[in-house]
Amino acid sequence: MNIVSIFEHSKACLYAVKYDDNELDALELLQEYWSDSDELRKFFKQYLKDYEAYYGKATIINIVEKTIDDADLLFETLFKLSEDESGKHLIGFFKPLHNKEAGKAYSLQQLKGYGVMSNSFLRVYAIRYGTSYVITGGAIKLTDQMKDRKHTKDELYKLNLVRDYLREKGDEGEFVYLEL
Amino acid sequence: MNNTEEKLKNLAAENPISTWKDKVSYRKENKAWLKKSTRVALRVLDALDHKGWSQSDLARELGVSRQQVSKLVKGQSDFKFSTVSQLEKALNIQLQTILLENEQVMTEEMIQERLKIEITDYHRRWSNTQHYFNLKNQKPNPHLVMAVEPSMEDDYAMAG
Repeated sequence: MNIVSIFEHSKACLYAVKYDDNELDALELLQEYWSDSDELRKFFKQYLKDYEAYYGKATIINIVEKTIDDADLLFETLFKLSEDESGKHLIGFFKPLHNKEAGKAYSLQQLKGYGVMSNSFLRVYAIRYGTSYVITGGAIKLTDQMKDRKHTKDELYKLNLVRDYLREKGDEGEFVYLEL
Repeated sequence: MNNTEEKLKNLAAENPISTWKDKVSYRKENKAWLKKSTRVALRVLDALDHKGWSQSDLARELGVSRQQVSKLVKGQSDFKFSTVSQLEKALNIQLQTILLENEQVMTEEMIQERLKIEITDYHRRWSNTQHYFNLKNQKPNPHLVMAVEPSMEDDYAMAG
C-alpha cells in the first residue's frame, strides 16, 4: 500500500491510498468507475431493487446519467476545495463515518463525504490524520448499513486496513476530541 | 504540522502526485460532449441487451476489436459520425438526429402531456357547444363540437 498526494496546503492536506493491486490511486479509481457507463449500468442492473426501495422507479439510463452528473459535481467540489488554502471547507466536507460520532473529531477517525445532489447515494471514505485526510475509496450506498452489501462491506474493510496501516506508520493516534 | 503528519507527507513524497486533478479538469472542459457520449454508450448497451448480443458480437459486426467496443461503451469516446452511422446500422437503432429550425425533439412524456391537454380542451369545447344549443333552445347535437367560448356577457345573462 502507498500514499499519494492529491494536494497539500499548510492547513489541510488530502491524500489517497494506492493499493498494491492497482496502478491508480483510490480517488482516480473512483473517478474512473463513476464515469464508466458500462460499469455503472452493470451495477444498477444488479442493485435496481435497492435503488427503487429508496428512490422509486426509474430507468437504468436515467439512474446512470444522474450518477455520472452527481459524481462530476462531487469531484468538481473536491477540486475547488483543493484550491482553498484555508482548509476550512475540506473539514466541512468530511463527516464521521459513524453517525453517533457527530460533532467529534480525532486522529485516525473514519470519515465519509457525500455526493453533492440532494439525497445522494455517492460516498467517499477517508481517514482523518491530524489536519490531513487520506481517501481510502468510495461506494454507491443504497442500503442503510454498509455491512448490508458486499461492495460497501469491502469499503469498511479498506477503512480499517488503512487506519491500521497509518497507526503503524505514525505515532499511536491520540484520541483527542475536538469541537467542530 | 506534527510529527505524525510529517511522516505522512514523507510517505506521499515517495510517490508521484496523483493525476486526479488533471482528470477532473478534463471532464469539466469536455462535459458537453461527454454527456452525449454517455447517452450513446447507454443506448448501445440497451440495444445489445435487446438483441441478445455480447460486446464481442458487436465488435465482429463492426469489424473492430472487442477492446474498441469496450472503450465505446464506457461513454468517454468522442464518436465520429462514421462510427455512429455504423452503430446505427449494426444495431438498427437511431442515435443521432440533426434538427432543422422548425423541428423539435419530443419525449413520450411530452407527447402524452400534449395529448392530455388536447383531450381536455376537446371536452370543454363539446360541453360549451351543448350549452350553446341549450341557450338557443335548439336540439343538442352530441356529435357536434363548435369553437364556441362563453363570453363575460353570458355570465351576466345567467347571473341571478
